Amino acid sequence: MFHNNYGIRYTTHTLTTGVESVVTAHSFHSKHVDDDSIRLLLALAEQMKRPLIQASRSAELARMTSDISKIADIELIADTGIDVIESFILSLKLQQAGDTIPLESVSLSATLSDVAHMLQKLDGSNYFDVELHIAGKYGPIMAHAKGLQVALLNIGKVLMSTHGERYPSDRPVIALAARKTRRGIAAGIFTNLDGLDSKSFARARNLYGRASQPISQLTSESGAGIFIADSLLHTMESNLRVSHYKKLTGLAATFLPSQQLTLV
Amino acid sequence: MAQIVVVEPDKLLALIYKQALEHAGHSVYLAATIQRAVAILDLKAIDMLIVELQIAQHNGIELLYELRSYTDWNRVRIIIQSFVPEGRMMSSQTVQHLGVDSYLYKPKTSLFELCMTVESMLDRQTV
Repeated sequence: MFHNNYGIRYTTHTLTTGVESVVTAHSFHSKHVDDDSIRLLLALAEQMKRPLIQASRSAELARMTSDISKIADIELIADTGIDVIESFILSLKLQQAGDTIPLESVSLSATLSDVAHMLQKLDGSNYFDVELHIAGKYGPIMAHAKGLQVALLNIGKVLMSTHGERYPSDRPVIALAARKTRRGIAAGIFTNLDGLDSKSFARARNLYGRASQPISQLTSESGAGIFIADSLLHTMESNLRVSHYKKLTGLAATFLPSQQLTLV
Repeated sequence: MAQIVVVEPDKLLALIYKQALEHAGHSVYLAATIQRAVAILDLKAIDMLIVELQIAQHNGIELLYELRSYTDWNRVRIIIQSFVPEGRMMSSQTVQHLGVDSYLYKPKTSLFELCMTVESMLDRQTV
């Protein structure tokens, strides 16, 4: 039985195995996995307050003003909330799968292109310039296809929502880009907003789940989407980091090229 | 009716509050940042400020200190409506010191309650 930083008591599943050596060997790892999951859950809970309040107040406003057009807003808000929950569940499942995650050869260009289209669809009012920079020769990477897509989508959504909190002088840009690096193939999502740097991101990694606004220089929200993406990418043995692309700043991860297809 | 500035970084919530308060007969200006709020306060004769403490880059407390440092703005009524529960980000002494008239916890405050709080603040001002 463990106590985490929030005083929440929980037990590891190893207690039910009845094999003491397994319990000891497994406990350290389980505690870390569970600590991270609980922090992620707290960040998610903080994040979920927002769509729930938006839906509740939209409904109240619709009643107050007899404006039924608000119902469409409520549907969209609910869908946004459901997507965040689904992402969290996927990250938990991948964390629990540990070494048995089914990594496969994934086309980064196709994934980035799909995510770009999804983000464009979310931007109903064409407020953003959604750009795709996937020129260059690089083969497939080893990743969990769905996990990668969800991670990139979450980052894109958070970056898009941060623009709503500012008054940018230039037209907002969301750029999805990939390029070859010495360590592999880097892919990420970038934007023309300040407030994101390596130091603040490192601090945010320590704060999420403990503070309601861990990336305070970037957003007023809990930024759960970014930490869910971080967790998803971590299960694929990749790491999210602050990166730059042309004059844009964003978050990117490096992936190993798929060796299987190199032979072909 | 009153001229109100709503300092709210969430675009959708900001529009909801604006529509609800306008429906109650007030003039509402929206600000997503502290800088924009100060600019509006400079230009308009504002009666009331409804402010979220959790804002990117600068928090709402900085705005309250700014507001209270100018005598011209001392008469502006302040309602904090925040995701941050009372007592977590600022002590009750600080809340009092900054002349905050009401502290509302956003997740638990309906539009009706917000409008009622605004009305009661304005009634108090009139008396």
